Amino acid sequence: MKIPYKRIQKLVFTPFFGFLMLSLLIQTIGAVGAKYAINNINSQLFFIPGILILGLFMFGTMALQALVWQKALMFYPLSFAYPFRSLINFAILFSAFYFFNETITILNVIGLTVITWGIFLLVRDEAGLC
Amino acid sequence: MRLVYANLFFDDNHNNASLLGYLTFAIVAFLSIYAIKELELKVFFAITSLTYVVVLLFSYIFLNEKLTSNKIIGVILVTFGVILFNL
Repeated sequence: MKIPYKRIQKLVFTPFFGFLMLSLLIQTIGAVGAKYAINNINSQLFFIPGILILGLFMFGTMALQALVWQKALMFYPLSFAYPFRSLINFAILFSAFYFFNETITILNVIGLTVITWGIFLLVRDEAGLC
Repeated sequence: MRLVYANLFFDDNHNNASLLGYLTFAIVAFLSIYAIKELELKVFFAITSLTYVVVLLFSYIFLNEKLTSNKIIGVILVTFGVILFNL
């Protein structure tokens, strides 16, 4: 399998790559923030205003992430950009370990690697990267 | 100009599909709260990777998109990865 490093290099070293990474960062912050809020929210309040505030927060971060994502897609073909979304899983894994003391097992890492490889294969035809 | 603006936002097919998209977006946001409350954050996100599998299946059924060997292997890998992650 021949990997076209020059083409990948050309796609990565652009300002639009920042938008790609920023969209992943926003989604990670949204998820970590939501989990933090849920862990700390009063269970009695959870179903009344809490659910609305949290829902709006999650919807807001998802919408913001979508906007930044669209900005990145102005430059990148979806088939190139999409596999980067699987990086969110790794970002969440390490964030969850750092903020919520969730464990990281070797199977977690292998599982995510397999998922990433699967996503890459899913879009490989359109990307023409290999 | 006003007419063009109106057509952009009130075209039946385009607008209905977009509204449905935003509606499901909001539903996902609210349902995610309940899921995140019960599940570990890492598990929640690993399971959401199955979206790729469902999207491929639905696009095959409803949009008549072509299934290639790469896509099928990719879906199997994603599913296998999620299972491995949760072992």
